[in-house]
Formats: sequence, C-alpha cells, structure tokens
Amino acid sequence: MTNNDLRHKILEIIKESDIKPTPRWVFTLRSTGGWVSFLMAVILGGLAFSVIIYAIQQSDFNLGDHFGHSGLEMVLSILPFIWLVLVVAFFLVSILGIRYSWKGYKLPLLKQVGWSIGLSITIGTLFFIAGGGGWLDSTFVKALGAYESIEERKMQVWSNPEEGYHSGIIEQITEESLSLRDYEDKVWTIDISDAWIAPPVMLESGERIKLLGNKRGSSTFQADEIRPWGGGKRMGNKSNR
Amino acid sequence: MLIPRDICDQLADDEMVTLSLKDMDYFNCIVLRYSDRLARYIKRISGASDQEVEDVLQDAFVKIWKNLNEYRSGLKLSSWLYRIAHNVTISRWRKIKTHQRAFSEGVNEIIKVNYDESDENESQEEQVQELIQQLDAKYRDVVILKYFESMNYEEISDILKIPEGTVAIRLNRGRKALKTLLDKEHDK
Repeated sequence: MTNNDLRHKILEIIKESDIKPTPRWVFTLRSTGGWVSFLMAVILGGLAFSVIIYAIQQSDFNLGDHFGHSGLEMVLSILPFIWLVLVVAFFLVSILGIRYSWKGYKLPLLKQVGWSIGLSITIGTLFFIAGGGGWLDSTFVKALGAYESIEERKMQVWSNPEEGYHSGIIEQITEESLSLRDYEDKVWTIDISDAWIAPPVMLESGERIKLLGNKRGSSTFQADEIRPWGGGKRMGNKSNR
Repeated sequence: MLIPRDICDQLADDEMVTLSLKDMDYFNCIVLRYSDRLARYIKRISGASDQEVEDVLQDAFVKIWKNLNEYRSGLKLSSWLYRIAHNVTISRWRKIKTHQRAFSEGVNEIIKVNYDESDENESQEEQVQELIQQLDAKYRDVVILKYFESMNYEEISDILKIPEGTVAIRLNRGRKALKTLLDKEHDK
C-alpha cells in the first residue's frame, strides 16, 4: 500500500466511523487528576501518620525493655491497625497519582517514594505538633462506634497490675503510699516508698498516673516507677522525690 | 480531501495538530509525515509482517486522532506519536512471540554501525534487527529507539514513559546483552 493509499484509508476509517477527538478537558482532568491524587494522598497519609506519632508518644516507647517487650510492640499494642493500613494505602495512591500525572514518569521511583514519604512525614509531624493526632483519634471515636481509640487501648494495656502495669486517678496521698482509683472504679493502695517519680508527676489528688511495679495483694501494688498518664521520656532519677 | 504534500511540508508539527483539530483533512499531513517512520518502528519492535504492520499502523493513527487533544507542545510530536504506536503494537503483540529468523553471518556491533540508505547497510541493519529481536523487550525497545530511530534519552523517556536514568541503564544493559549475542553468533 502506498503512502497515499494509507492516508486515504485512515481518513476513510475515521470519517466512516465518525470518530471524534476526545475533548481536551478529559485529558486535562486526567493529568491534573494525577497530581491532585498525589497531593491528596500525601496530605491524608500525613494525617494518618500524625496518629501514629501520637501513638508512639502515648506508648512510652522506652518502657518496652522494662517488661521484655520491644518499643515497637509497645506502640503496636496501642495503635489501631487501621492507621497503618491507611498510611500504606495513601502511600500507594500517591505513587499511582504520580504515575498517571503529566510527565510524572520523569521522576525516578526512588524520588517518587522519597517525595511521598518525606511530604507525608512533614505534614504528619506538623499536624501532630498542632495536636492533630490526638484530635483525629478522638474524632474517629465519635464518628465510628466500632473504633477503639488509642486512649482506650492504652487504658487496657495499663490496667494489668498482675503484669506490673497499673494506672488510674490519685485520690489521696500519704507519706509512703497513695490511694488510686483505677478505670474499673476499684480503689488501690499503692506503696510508693521506693518508687522513682518522673518529674512531670505532681502527686496531686485528681492527677492521672501510670505505674510500673508489682502487685502485692488484691488491692495493693508496689510501685517502682510513677509516670504521668500522657507520654514522655524518662527524666530525673530515683532521688528526686 | 487530501491536503497536498507541499502544503503539509510547510507546516510545523504543532501547526499540523492545531489545524487537524479544526479541519480533519489536515490530519493526513501527520500521516504523511510520520507513517513511514512509525511503520518502520512497529516492524522493528514486533517483527511483524508488512500486512500486520499496516493494520497496526492504521489502529495507531486512529488512536492518535482520538487522542489528538492530549498532545501538548511541551512534548515533541514525534515522541508522542511513537508512544502511541508503541502502546498499540505492544498491546497487540504482547502475548505473541516475535518472529525468530535465521541469523546471517558478519553482524557488526550495533553501536558502530552508521546506517544510511545504501543497500549494504540496509542488509546489515536487517541482520542486526534480527539479533535484537532476541533481547528482552525492555532492552530491545530502548536499543531500537536509540540506534534505529536516532532518538535521544529525553525522547525515549517520553515515548516509553520511563525516567531518563532508566533509559540509560536499560541501554547499557541492552548493549551488553547484544554484545553477548553477537559474540555467540561469531563463535558459531
């Protein structure tokens, strides 16, 4: 077939089938949609990541060794699995977004991954600093009945006096002990005579604390360490009391 | 009505696209300018017969027409056309093994071959092309685009939708694989 024949044939096919070019807006939407998907996924991934940071902060990462668990186990014990799934899902969507964007293929895979993770971490950290991680967690509690919050999971972890984890609200304080009401409304006598007390702890009535130590009786507990209910790293030493 | 060749020749690529969208008769200028190159390319990557190449070429131009509004001036028209021709070819031949023909002796190292229109070089090009058909598809595509279609890295990147770094890596590996095939062929 000569070039002329081919030209005729192609034009004939197009005319006979009445094929029209797809409107420009479809392509604009498709290519812009790629970048929009990328941005949205990175932002949403960042928000999910902020909850993970919040879980890390709430887990007392450094306490793992105390009971023969790794820090990661501590985090995973209180982190609702959904946030890990969301972070991974949004990460994958962001990579797909780049792939389908106009000239997104120019970016090597390593850079795509780097940009996606880097932006999500930055957004997540900023959102966490602004208090967004905890807010998102509690918003999910209100919106989804089946959702178990980090706070609830943390309460479960820290309501195991048999395993050395205990927590509650201080009711009364004496020289060597304090009475503590746990989350099941049971009152405990806590021996604090040899306990290390973390600096943020004020030992005031109404204060929420968590304890590491040993159960001595049905309602008595020997505290080795007293920590504030919120997260935080170990500071100070045993002589600070 | 076909637009005469001399009018087509005066048009820049971008103008051809713009005019085609206004008057579809101008689309034959695009066909005129690129059909031979695309047909050659389709044949090279698929090893298909002339009739099959013609069918693919028609499909490719119909697809080009449908997607004409996708083309933007940030990209070379040739790169965009090759991309579509490539995709149409691949989707048609993905599961069909390419034709393996007997090798001729005396195949020179591809990178040293400077193809022109002479008969001798055309025959040599054919021999190398047969050898290239044995390469893994991802290496074959870049080797063909680079050495047979004289595309630069940016153009290959736009056609295959891969980063330029990946083009360089595939080209390097493709060359080495081809060298191994050439050595084996010489040893026979």
